[in-house]
Amino acid sequence: MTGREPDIGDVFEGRPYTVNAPAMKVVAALLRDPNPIHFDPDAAASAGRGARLVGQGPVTAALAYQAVLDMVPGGRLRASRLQYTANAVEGDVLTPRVMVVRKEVHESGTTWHLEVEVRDGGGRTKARGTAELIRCDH
Amino acid sequence: MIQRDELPLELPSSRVVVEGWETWLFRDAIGAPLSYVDVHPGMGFVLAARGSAVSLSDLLAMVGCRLEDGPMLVGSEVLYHSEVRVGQEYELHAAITGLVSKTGRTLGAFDLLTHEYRLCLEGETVFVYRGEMVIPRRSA
Repeated sequence: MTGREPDIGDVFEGRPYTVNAPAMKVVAALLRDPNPIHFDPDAAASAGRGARLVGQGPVTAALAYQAVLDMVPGGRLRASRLQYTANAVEGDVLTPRVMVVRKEVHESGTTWHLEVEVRDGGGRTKARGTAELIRCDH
Repeated sequence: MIQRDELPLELPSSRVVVEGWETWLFRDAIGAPLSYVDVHPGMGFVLAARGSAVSLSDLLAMVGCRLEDGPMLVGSEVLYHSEVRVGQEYELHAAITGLVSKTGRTLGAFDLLTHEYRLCLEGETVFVYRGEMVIPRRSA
């Protein structure tokens, strides 16, 4: 995409993000999430996940939200609905992709209705769904 | 363990404040632009999960699930009526909204747990999170 305002059919690719152990540990602590598959390789192995830690769904969601925000400076996420179709694991390189499916210009600003997807480096979908971005112009 | 005919079940409410250092750490963890002031939209769930009077593990225990059973987040919905702000105290309401038995080819027997967190300020809803979790029922 160029610097122009996003319109219907435009596709925006967010920044790639490598799922990593230090970040998972921080998020587990922030969430008070006691599930050790996010921070203990032995627990991940016992759960049949190999020795790779399993990324938190809310991190995958946050990557999608950030890609949405990056589309429109000054925009704000209004809503999103995501389905997590596969686990993201340590070492996966996740890239969010956002497509504009509807745009509404109204008196107070603009609303973009979006389809979002997060894929790994092998093209496998980890999450997909919708989002709504708003920008108030007054 | 809760009974299905008790649902939807309101859980004890609590009060919660997001701190500047938390939003900085979360932003750093996900590779977003750093800020002590702007609450990332991904923080709504973090705030709700850590601020709830019923922890994630307590929530799972209420539906007869242990961490080693392998519960999985399979869906989430967020709705921001207005921005969540650093330093602001919010009322946090939580509920278990559903527990539905299903069978899948890969998972076998499982329950789909749906739950909701609602952040409010002076009675007005600021943020809503709805989550869907698969609760494996291997012995079922």
